[in-house]
Amino acid sequence: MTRAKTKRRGLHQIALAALFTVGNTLLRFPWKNTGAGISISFPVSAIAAVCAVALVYPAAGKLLRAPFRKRIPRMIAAGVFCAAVSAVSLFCAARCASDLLAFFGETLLPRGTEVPFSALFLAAAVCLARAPRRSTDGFALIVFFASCVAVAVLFLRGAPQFRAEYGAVDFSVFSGADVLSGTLWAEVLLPMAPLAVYFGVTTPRRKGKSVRSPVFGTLAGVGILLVCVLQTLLTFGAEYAAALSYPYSRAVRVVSVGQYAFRPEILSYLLDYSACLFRTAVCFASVRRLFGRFLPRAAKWVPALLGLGVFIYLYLR
Amino acid sequence: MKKIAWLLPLCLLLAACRADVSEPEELYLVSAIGFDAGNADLRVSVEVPLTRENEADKMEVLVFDGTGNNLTAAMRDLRAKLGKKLFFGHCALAIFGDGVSGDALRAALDFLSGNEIPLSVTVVSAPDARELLARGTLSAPAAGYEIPDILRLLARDEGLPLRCRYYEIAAHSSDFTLPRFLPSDLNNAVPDRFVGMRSYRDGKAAVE
Amino acid sequence: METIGTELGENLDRFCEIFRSDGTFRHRVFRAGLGVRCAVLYLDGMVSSSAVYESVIRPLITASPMNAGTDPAACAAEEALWAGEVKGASGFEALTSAMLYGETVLLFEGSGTALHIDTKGFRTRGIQEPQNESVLQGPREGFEEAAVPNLAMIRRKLQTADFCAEPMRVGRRSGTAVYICYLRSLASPSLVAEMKRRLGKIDIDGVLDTNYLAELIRDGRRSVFKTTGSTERPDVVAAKLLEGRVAVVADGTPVVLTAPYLFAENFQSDEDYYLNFWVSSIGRFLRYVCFFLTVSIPALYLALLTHHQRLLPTFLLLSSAGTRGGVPFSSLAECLLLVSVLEILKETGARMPQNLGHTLGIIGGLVVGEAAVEARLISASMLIVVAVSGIAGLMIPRLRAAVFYVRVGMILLAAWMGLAGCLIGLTLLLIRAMGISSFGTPYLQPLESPTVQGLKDTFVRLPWGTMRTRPLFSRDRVRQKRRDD
Repeated sequence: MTRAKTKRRGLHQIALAALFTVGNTLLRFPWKNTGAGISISFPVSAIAAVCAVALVYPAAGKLLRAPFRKRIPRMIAAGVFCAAVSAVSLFCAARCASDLLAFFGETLLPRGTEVPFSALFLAAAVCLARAPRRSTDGFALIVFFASCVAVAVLFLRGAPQFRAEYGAVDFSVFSGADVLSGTLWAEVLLPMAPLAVYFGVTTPRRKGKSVRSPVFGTLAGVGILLVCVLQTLLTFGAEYAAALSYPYSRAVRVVSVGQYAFRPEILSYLLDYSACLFRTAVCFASVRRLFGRFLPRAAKWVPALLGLGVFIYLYLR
Repeated sequence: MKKIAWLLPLCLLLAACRADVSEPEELYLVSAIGFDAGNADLRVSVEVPLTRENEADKMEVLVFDGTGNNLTAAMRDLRAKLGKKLFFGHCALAIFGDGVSGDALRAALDFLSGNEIPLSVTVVSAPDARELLARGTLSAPAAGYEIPDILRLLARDEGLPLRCRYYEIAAHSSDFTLPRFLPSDLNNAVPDRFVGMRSYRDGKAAVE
Repeated sequence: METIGTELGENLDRFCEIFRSDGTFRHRVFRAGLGVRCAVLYLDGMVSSSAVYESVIRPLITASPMNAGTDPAACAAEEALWAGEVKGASGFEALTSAMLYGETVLLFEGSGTALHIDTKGFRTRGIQEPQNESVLQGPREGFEEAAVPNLAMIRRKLQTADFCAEPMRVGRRSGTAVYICYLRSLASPSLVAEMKRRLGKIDIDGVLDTNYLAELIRDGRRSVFKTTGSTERPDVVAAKLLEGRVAVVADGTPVVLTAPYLFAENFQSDEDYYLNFWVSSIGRFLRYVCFFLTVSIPALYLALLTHHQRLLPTFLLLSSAGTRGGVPFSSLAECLLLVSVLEILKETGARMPQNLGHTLGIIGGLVVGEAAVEARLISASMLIVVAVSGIAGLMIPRLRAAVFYVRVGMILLAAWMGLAGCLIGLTLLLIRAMGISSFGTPYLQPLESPTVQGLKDTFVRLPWGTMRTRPLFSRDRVRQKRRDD
């Protein structure tokens, strides 16, 4: 790959990783029942997870790329690893789709359209998972820029509503236990597994440099989350925000372009939707690639089967 | 090709045959809501601006009210009097009458926290919420838009630290301060008058 | 393959049999000055009569006798005939094909070879400005229906030996002459080979327009997005060839195909490169905005009006409620009705003679615009939204078909699922567009893999001095060098 192509590909990967990191985290931001200290411990643990992933995923990539057809121990290790990561990916995808459906069901969807919406959403995720890398990457880049603009516009428009006193977070509520809470593990560390696999298996190996894009992308995603969390915090304060469902969405609804003009909250739905779409699609794609190491011909059907499985799970739920 | 041939009419059918779609002319757009508490009942008043067919440049403002033992009964009474569904998505003003305190105040605040009413709704107090709405306005089509405009001008021109949007007071649901308004005097061309602040402590009102 | 014999009479009878029902078939038998009998055969209307008389018959009659034992056909070709192009053939099929394309066939007594001479003289429309691609500034000539003059027009703009025009015949019964044009040093050999392969695979009765070819060779045959370009302007074809593209010129139509054709080209106007870049950039940017407006505005408005009233401006909602009072149709029905009427007006306006088209526009505006609103059949706000959408769509005529289907699809999704439906619709549209390629090049190039150089001619058109590279599919990517190189 030429240097120019590598640079372009890096930008796409950053966009993809950023959107993946946002995922359904904003919808499921672990504020409720955990107190205001979560606003600090979340980004801290996210950065810690990124560092862990940066160490783990090259090894995962090496394990998965190396030939193991006649090396039984390596094949077993790879198989166990693949099964574990596939389970995590499926769990993340199902949670993501479920959260988006719950959020849209409460805010956007007309009555009775949850089932067709979830079907179409999962179909779009499956198409993205099966699409060539360049298509998914290109889509991610376009959507990432649009989402960044949306978040920035909402932040700037919402600035007149901010109260400086809400910005003073009480550090005494921050405790080490928060870092280890199950919520943070589920939101931060687990989703890194499918992301690491996705990049580890699909990115050409360049010493030290193949880690850069997903790491930067994850940091960019954390940055977006921080801006959204900051907006929520400065608008409502930590305690009131904790009492709301989907606090960022409520914070954005407060933003208005003048008294009589429309509310730009419509822009926030773009971020929520696209982030969930990409997280679901990358989870499906990572399972497909893992399967592809063992059953190359059957691998192309994996995203469709996963989509169907998640749809059934959503319907039964 | 066959898939597209039956998919389009199916989408059209699904799109068209929906019982829960509300066209805008089927809704009463609520610009302001008022709560008054008497001895044993609660009265809810809503202000609805209307544009009539063939008179799009003229706006008429109607005030409807309903009473009941509690907020639920009052809302039920109100809805029973109306031929259209109430839509609170553009409600800009909530008024607490002087009698609203304690349980009635908590019920009103809970009602305002529902998803339909914007969290940025301006909350004020008045001697009688219904009278404030029914008296009419001079400078804006409806009281629901006039009073927030007055408050915005006061905050800008006189530097009054007004924190009376719902989400600004909801965090301190037992201790907060609301601007107080008296109804407009249309005969003397006096708009709704801001006369000071009214404090609420432990869910009860005190006049300052 | 049936070949001619040495008997002039038998050969002539065979041609008479082939063209027995053709009233334009002409033949004349005479004794040439060479000393042998010969026959001239041609199709009236396809040849230039003066060329036949002056270049073929007269020089043969006045020719000097040939030496004994000489092949009369070879002698005539080398010493007697005055035409610019003379070829020999012995197969009836080749000679018939030549006659059908305006050449004159010459048969000789005692020779197993016949000559076919270029005497084309069929009438053509002449060079005119294309009506659908007019410009304010820049060249105004357009292609005509004959392929060879069209090639000459391209060659006048690209005076280089690098210019190639490889001939082919397509169509079992029409035998349409098709030329694949490219610049040898710029077009990728794989692209040229792929074009030849796809054209060679066509098995159809006749090709009357390049659109027949386009639908048979394009990628994504059922996609609403075009993956082959078309133009009637030689300057546009020359510009495309200079970017490494391939053009297909077909006889009988002024429309020339170009490939690969990318999504960004739908937003390029022919005169973007002839006007100042400030002016061009505004137009280019507006076209992208208009595309978004035309496919999504009716759907967004419908979604907000019926499902998400809280997102609309308050006074717009009040106004819409007031104007919709008394309208008997639902918002969805009203929207679809207006979109259909808009398409009907556009179609009939395009098909009508110009003076009737003006009248139709007035009637359409009055009837649909004013009378329908006054009669409360439709609401003014929906009419404005659909009209804005329609006008925005006129900015990008190349995407006309795609815009219509996408617009209707988005409207249905918005009516069904509100804003969520719009998001799903945009997603599926993007995914579909990303899955298409045009002759191996991704359709959304360079939008999906943006580079600084690639984006200099997409959303805006930067000055020529900054556009130093050609597209990725070109064989030689350097368009111009820096001044100090």
